[in-house]
Amino acid sequence: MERRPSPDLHRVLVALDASRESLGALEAAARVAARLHAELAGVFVEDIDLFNLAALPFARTVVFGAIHSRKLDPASVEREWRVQAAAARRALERAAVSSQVPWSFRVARGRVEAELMAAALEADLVALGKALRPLTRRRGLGSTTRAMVGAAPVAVLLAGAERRGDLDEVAVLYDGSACSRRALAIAAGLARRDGGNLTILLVGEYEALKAQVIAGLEDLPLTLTFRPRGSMRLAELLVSSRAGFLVVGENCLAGEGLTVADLAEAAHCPVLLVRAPEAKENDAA
Amino acid sequence: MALTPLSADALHRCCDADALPFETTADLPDLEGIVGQDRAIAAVRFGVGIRRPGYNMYVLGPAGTGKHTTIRKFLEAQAKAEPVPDDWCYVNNFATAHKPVAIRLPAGSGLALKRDMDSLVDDLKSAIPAIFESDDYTSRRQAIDESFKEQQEGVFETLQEKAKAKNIALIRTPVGLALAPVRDGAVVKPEVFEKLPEDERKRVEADIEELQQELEQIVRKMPQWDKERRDKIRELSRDVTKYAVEHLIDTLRGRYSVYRPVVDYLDAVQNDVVENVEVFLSATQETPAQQPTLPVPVPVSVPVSVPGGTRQAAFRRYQVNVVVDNSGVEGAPVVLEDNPGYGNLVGRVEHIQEMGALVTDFGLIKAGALHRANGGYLILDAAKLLAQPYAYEGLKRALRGAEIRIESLGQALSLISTVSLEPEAIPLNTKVVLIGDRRIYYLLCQLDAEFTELFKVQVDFDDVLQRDDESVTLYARLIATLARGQNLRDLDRGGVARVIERSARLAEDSERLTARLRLVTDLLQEADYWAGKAGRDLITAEDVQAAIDAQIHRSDRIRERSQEMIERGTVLIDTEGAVVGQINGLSVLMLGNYSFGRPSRITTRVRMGAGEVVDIERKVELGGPIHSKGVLILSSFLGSRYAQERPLSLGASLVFEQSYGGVDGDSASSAELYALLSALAEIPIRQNFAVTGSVNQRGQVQAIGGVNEKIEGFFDLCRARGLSGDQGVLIPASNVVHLMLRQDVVDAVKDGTFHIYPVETVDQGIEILTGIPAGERDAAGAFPAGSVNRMVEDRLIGFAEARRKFGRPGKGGKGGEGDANDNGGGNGNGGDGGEG
Repeated sequence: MERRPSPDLHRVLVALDASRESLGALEAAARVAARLHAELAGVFVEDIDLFNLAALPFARTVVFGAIHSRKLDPASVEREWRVQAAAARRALERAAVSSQVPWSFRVARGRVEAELMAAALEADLVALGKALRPLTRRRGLGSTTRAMVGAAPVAVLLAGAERRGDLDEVAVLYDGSACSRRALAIAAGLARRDGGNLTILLVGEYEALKAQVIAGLEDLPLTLTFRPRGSMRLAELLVSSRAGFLVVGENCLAGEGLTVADLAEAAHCPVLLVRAPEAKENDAA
Repeated sequence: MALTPLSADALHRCCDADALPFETTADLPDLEGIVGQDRAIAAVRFGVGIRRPGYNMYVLGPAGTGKHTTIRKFLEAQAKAEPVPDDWCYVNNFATAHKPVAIRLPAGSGLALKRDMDSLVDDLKSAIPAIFESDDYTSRRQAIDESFKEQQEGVFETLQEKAKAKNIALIRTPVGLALAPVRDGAVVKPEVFEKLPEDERKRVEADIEELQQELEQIVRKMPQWDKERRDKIRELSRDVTKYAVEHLIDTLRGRYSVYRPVVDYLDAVQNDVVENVEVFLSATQETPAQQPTLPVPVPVSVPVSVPGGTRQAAFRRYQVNVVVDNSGVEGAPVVLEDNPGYGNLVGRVEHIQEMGALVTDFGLIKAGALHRANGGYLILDAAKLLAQPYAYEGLKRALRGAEIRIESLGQALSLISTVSLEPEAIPLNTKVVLIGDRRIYYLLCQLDAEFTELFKVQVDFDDVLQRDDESVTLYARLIATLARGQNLRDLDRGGVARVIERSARLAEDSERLTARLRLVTDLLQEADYWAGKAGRDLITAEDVQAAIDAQIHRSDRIRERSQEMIERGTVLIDTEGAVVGQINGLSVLMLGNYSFGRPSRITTRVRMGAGEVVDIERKVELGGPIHSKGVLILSSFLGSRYAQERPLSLGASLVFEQSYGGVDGDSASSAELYALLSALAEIPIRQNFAVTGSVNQRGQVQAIGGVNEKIEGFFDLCRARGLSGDQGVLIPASNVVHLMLRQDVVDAVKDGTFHIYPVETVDQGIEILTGIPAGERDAAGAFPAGSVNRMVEDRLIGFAEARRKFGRPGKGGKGGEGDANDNGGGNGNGGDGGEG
């Protein structure tokens, strides 16, 4: 186990589309960037599929709250993108200035997943709304978010429109694996400040895991709280922690029958999904 | 037979200190009740006892007689034995917010209900959020959400599947949803689409058109689905809220089950809580229904115009405003409202400023004196009541309707029509006691027909008390009580006797004592001061006299100046010698609470005329009507006594010399008559006398007021010039009982240097003033020769003859003789000046 947590997260990418979900992700990302002294980078993707559709002669859009559909054309789509991008930029600027972190913003045009995946290669963490511009209110992650969770080579921060995201109430799932050790290091980095609270949800042999954690974090001025899993299901353990911010290693969910979508649905707070160390190295290579 | 002057004993009825049955007032017990006001007390007993509409009381009498204290003490004693009236509360009217509901409860239960409702709200604040956080509610709520989601997802998924089968995708646009042809997971580019065969293009377009119709229908249904979801959640919240609320309110229902209005109110509260449950949930908690849009919290009121108001204000809806709380009260209330303004009397609805507007609610209803006195007694000062705009009208309206209806003046007078509170009227059962002076009472009787309907009991406090041995003893106890009440020194017997003598002087009657206790109290307080200055433990006669002297001295400046002007000859008053047609009259000047007597020279001139005595004061509007009446009586007297068989051919003028401030009253009419008789008979009047008294047509001298001041006024002047031994005052004999003269006057009379004559008739007076017998008609109807009356009659006969001759035709015309007679008539006596 690492003696000193070194989260090495220097660049936090946040996908913005002006939805409430993405603004929630921006807020959580800005807090993380501030705590880790990382840069906040925003990207707004103009969906090329929508642009192509708008160029078709019969293209129409059904507007929520309007009786009749409206004709689509490239010019109007581009105009609305400009409006949304400007709003996203302003929101990013406000969050970055408020958190006192460096920031950048760019607009990309292409397939949304491809553009975000490409942007993620230049970042250490991608922040996404749990469902970017969802089609319906259906449960679970949006298609883009699902794709990023599945394929992004870096840690993924999932946040929604909920207002929680308190870094003074960070909880981390720890099972002793390398992935969970990395998650613990990042969680400690997020919680780290004098008197900060860190709740460790232990999955496995309680005393041994607790000793490992204490040994790893003994020099840090943190208040540690250990919660054993007991007979609870993993989802129950995570929910019962009532954390303001949850850090989970992706491997910790394996074998529990719990998907990231389930976790994101159950937790009423931002969830930071940490990749296994080797996965990052492999992807980076 | 010559009239003899009064002896010194008749001038001042002393109170014999040695006869008083105590050493000091410390020996005397407090006097319970009041002395000598039997009529008033009987009226109060009647007024209190009779329980019929309109039998309210008006207590009348001069200021300072202790009316307020007496009535309050009497009513308090009476009220103790009467039942404690009920409490009154105002609560919110959930159906019509601007008409708060009045609830009547037994004494003490109002506050209990208020506490119970406060506790209920506190309980609801914790019980309702708890039930909304419960697993039961959460799972039922999630089931509804899930059902909705499944319905929506199902529809979209069906549409998506249908579209997918036709290579069409549902994609998000900046404002909604759109359907796009796809190939290999991407939207077909326009250039590719253009290259497709026309049939295929048309098919795609048709497919998209069809799907779009379906999509539009789905999107149109979404608000309805959402509404259904909200309705179901609202229904769920009602169910769980009712469960949480009902058992809490049931407890209160049981406690107040015998009070139907309270039970009805609790039912309304329960319904309102169920309908407005969101205010009990914390601001951060997601509410089952739509989150209420609330302004910035201002924890003060629920504006009538803003139902719901702030979160804090919303809880005020369930509070109880106890406007009348009789908990801990013994007996019926006796309320003395010192500031009987309209609002203080009938209650008012206060407003607060909120966001630039004035708002109010039932919690800002304030009780008035009528509310507090309901079931008991309300004491009001009539003058203060009448001085307050519309307060008297408001009181009458309440008494007439036997209910207290709180309306602002604007509402009552229909001056404003904005929405305001209209609190439910409260039945009124109060005995109102107005206290005021007699003038107000009689004015109200005369000018307000309703007054006598609403205030049927007249409680008339006397100004004076009978002075006899029994009442003097009681009065001494009263003095003792007053002194103790003011924490003053005790009085010795001499002090008490002097106070009693002063009391008689204040009553202007040796056989009466003043009932104006405020004056007595003032005298006691000031005597206590002088006793302190003298280092005495008891208040003695000396201290009381010092207080009286100091009181007089403080008010005496004008009297001194007036007398100074006479002494210096600026104002002409003779106190010796004799003059025809000139006499010293006596008048009283009142300056605030102080009055003093002042001699005035009255002169008259006579001549032939038409029988008219000209009142010069009246001609120049310096004389009042009563004075003119006195002068007219003189003409009548002269005519009836001296000119029954011939015309009264007298022309006379009367004047108060050097009088510039106006005179009224008829107390100088006897003096004026003496002056007229002197002028007619050409007999000088002795100037060492002054005269007071009114006279009637038969020549009888009648009583006047201020006799003591008048005597003392002339005495002071004579003493200043040196008492000659023959100076004195003629007063009406009927005023002798009113004499309570100063000791120095009494002493002068005792020494024979000053004289006071009790005169019954003009004849007695003229004899003293002229030293000549008045004379009575003999059997032949003639006055004796040399008598005053004979001389007057002869002069008048002369006037009549001269007038007859003057008016006869062929005797030289009117001009010449008229001029010749102008200065005194035609009898050759050379006019009426005569003093030389």
